Amino acid sequence: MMVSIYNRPSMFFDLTKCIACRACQVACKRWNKRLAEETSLNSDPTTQWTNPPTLSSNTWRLVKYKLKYDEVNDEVTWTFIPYSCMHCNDPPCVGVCPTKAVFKRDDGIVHIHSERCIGCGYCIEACPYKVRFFADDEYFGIKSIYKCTYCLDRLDAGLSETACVQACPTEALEFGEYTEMHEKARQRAKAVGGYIYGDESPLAGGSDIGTSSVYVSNVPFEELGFPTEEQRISAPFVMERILLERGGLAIFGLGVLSFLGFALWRRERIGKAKMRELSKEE
Amino acid sequence: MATITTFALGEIPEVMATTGEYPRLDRIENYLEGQTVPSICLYCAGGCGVRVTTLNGEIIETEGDPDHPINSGRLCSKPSAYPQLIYSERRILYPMKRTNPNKGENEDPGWVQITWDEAYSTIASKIQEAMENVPYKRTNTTTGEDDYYYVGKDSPVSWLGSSYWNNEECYLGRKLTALIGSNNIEHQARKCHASTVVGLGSTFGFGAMTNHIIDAKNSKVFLIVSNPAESHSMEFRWVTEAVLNGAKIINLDPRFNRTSTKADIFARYRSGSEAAIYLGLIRYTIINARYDKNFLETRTNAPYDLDGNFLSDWETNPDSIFSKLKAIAEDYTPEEVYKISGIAVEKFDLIADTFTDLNNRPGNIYYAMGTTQHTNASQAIRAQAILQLLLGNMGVPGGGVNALRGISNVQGSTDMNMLMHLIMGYRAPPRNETEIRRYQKWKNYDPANRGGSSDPAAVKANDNDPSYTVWEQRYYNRHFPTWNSLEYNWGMYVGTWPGIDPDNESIVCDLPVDYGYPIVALFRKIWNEDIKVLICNGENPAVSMPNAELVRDALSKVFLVVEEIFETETAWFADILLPGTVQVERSGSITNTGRWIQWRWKAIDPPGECKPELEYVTELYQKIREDAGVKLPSERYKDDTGHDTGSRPEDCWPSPYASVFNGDPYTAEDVYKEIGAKSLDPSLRPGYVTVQPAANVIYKNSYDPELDPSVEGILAKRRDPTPLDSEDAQYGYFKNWAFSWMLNQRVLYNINESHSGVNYFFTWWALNDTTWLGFDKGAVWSRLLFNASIPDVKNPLSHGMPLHNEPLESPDSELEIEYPTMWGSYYTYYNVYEDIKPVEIGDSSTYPYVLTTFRLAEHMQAGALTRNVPWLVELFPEVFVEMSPTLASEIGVSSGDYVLLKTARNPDGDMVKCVVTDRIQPLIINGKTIHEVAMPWHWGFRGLSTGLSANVLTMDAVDVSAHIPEYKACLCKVEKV
Repeated sequence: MMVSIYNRPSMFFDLTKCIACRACQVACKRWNKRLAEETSLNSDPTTQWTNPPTLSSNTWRLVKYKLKYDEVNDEVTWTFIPYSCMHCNDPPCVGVCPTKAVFKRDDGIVHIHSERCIGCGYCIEACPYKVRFFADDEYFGIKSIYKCTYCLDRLDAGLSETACVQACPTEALEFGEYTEMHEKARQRAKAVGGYIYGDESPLAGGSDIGTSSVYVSNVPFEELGFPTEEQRISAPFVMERILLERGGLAIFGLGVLSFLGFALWRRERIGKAKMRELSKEE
Repeated sequence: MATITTFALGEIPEVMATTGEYPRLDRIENYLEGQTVPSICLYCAGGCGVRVTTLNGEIIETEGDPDHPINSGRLCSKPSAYPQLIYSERRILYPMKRTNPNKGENEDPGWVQITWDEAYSTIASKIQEAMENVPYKRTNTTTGEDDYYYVGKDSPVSWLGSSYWNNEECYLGRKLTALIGSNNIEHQARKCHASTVVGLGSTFGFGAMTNHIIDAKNSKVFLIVSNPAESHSMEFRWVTEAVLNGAKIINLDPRFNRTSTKADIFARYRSGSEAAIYLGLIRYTIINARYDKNFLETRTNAPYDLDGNFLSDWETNPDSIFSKLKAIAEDYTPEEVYKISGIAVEKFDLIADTFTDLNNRPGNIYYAMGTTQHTNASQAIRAQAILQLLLGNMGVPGGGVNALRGISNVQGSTDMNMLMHLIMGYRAPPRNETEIRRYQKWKNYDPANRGGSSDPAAVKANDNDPSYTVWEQRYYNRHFPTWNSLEYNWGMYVGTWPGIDPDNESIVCDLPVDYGYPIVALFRKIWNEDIKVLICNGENPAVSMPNAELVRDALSKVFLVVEEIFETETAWFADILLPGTVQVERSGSITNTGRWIQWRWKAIDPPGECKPELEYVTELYQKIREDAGVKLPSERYKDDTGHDTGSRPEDCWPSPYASVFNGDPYTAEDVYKEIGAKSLDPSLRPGYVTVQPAANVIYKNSYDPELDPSVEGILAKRRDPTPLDSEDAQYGYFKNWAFSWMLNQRVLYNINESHSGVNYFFTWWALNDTTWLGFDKGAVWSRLLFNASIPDVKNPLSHGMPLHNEPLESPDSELEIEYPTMWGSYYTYYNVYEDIKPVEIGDSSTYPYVLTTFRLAEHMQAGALTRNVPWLVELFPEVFVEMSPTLASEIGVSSGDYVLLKTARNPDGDMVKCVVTDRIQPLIINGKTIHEVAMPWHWGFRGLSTGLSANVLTMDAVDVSAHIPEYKACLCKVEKV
């Protein structure tokens, strides 16, 4: 599912500018009506202060803290990583979805028809960034996978940026067209002598592991816990792995497809009314 | 007492009725259809614009105001969660009274809903009871006449807060306390930047941030001894812009924090050694001739001798102030700085070289509580200010000594002087009878008009009296016009009566005479039951005061009125609890840290019976006058003698523009006009004139109906981001946006700023009392701060220049002797401690570690405004103490364990979870390893997230000139539980 139009929405995360004020994390909750989670003190030596500890169906954007200490030179490296769905160019989650609930819009935003989601969890498994969570959501009133939507309701209404980008005090987050953001990221990486992530050009075999979101950092991305190239495998390979690991379940799934057809039809009817701003693709 | 942190999301105290919940109207169609209302953020003093979208009287969305020059639509995490604050189901909605006579942390108040009328009546009768025996009349032994006035500190009625209030509300709060004869009024500002007012005021003239938020973009180097990335995130937007243009950041902090991650040079130092570091930088600047010679000659007193004679050979002449500074600073070699602060010599040289580098001008110093909250804080701030004078970094865009202020309107509340020693616009109240008699002579400048004069020459009338010293002339010229303005604007009388013979007549003075008690001393007076009533508004001393257990005891002993939006720890001790409003529920002006006076418009009606603060103060005063019969001294004088001085306070409340006693409708605009009027309105107070129409002199001309009719002269309402001229465009002044004191000047003391208001320093006079050098001399040597009669002795109070002094609790016994603390005999209010309760002091053998406190981006001050907001509680749900891995392994704890923290104030200790972090490392101080631990101070025992208040451990000794507590350095012991 290659998308060749490169003027689609894109986000540039400049970690060299992020001060971890977490405005983006709160602004995301505010705009997307996400509930606060019950958390406890995060005192872990390397991830301390990150809270909630991971993304979830109620936390679509998370600022991760990563602490490293060089004892010899008494040098602290504390990196802040605003993290959420990368909106892959060739998203593994789309290919594995048995009900075609997960899809990629023409503008590159990876989204979900919640009323079609059966909660099989294949996309959760397939996602190399671990941004997808299944939940019975209080606000949307439907059991589905939830994650960052690039604020597609805002974009579709003609607003120029997402809630998180609007909030960012230091312009560590920027929003714009794919080519522009990626070019900016390359320039910035060069200027600070740093690293870039998500800007890969299409690889052999039809997989494009580049992402709509692009990151620049002073610290190598493998040290920040970003998946390696091998981990960002393309859809067919993911499907293959899932079939191998969970083959029995998948075959059982094929057996009940007729029932699913009925269930989906019913869910669609219930869900439609509640999915006003998510239904542009219908 | 051991406190275990408890935490439960969604737990609602019984008394808190619910107004509904967020999210409310949530469709994007509604957002697009809704009306937008501009407001200003209520958290830090950055002054960011908040755009509120409403539909059918409800808020749909709050976001950064895209039109606002400071934040252009951005916001940090705290205001990003605004809707959860406004629509919190934990808000207080009705006036309530306490039914449980016992007070304490474990005593439920037993709230019962009452009416506003009942609340006002109860408060009024308590004030009446307390004031019954307060003397207002004394017989003068010399003149034989009766003098009528209240002594400000003897009032049993005290008032706190608030920096969260709008200017108009703060102004009325100060007016109310003055009209009931009390100078026992204090608020948050005493605890945050009181030492700034002393340190910068005595060096430059004003005790305020010299530049403004956006101005950071013009800097080439930053010396950041604070944590703006966390405490003032939007300031970091402009720091980031400067960095993209090549600026360097030097960051000094006891702990590596979120700001440090962006620093080119970071150094850890021991809390309390700031003055030594700055003196070391001063030495480096002088020794390496990095000072700006031209600037020193033209704009400072450095080339003069102490008698005010210019010395052409000032660089070498030992009599010059410059040479005396050099002699003082010479002791602070990099080795000495290392010994005191723990910053390695090599690193210090790098810091000094970078900051003083000629290519790195202008350089900018950002500082906050880490510097201001010490017993020697005024000295450290003076040293910063002197360093910037030496480098010529003053009065230029991108330079300055920039005090980052913590609460949205703390600059405004300070300007309105809700402070015990000031009355309005940094003008002091009359301090004694002589001053009142001399004031009457000044008023007699215009014999036809003994109530004052409108002749501009009247301001300098004191210059004609040869019996006054130069110092007295300056002092009176500064203060008398404001007293006169307050007579005019407040409808009261100050002087002698009838005013013909000021030396021998009765004094009739409606302004309370002499200073009140500064906040720490005030709480000792409350604890001792000398003060009977405390009205506490939008302030949480039970969490924010040092040695908080003593303060909580004091709160249990006083008749306490609390006006708040949440049930805070202080409210827990209240007798009457009144529901306040969130800023979007009322209109008014506020002043940000960069002195911009901006308007915020009301967006929605307050819920329940919550009352806008302007109405609350107005109605409270009405009730105090009507029910309690509190009278002005001039009214007592009239009752006793039949002489009518003409005082008519009812005509001027809340404002001469609208009197509630005469049944006029009133708005915040009416009060705003009184504060900043440019010219006299003859219809306002017929028969009266004054040379200073603005009640607050530094806000003058902020109301100018001729300048901008589109906002009816309320210049704070201006929202035009277009630059005034090319200079404005270059430096980002935004002179058409709102208004800035003084006279719309955006960078203080900037002689090159076109359309400028006050561009000179105005601080300095010579040692002898007859020589006046005029304005525009930044004070490298200062007379105002210290008595300089013995300038060469190392006595901090008889010295015109700063020195390092150890904190009261020093971790090193040798340093303690070499650099003795200033606490003790130097402190004016020391007898309050001696007589009532001395400071509990620990020594380094029992308490070996240094404890400091800090703030987090996600929480606000004493916490009520964030610990009740689920989205923010999620980010930092619990209190903690941070320590180095070395210390953790010494005491045998791991990250996340509970430890027991003990100080001399709290010898039994309290439990708190620890975060063991590489961001803190041991320091070598005077050859010994010293551990520092650090704790955020936002927590308390009420709210959605509760936890140990750091301030039950901190020190309640204060800076000897500014009375600001030494929060930031005390000694502690950490034990494994």
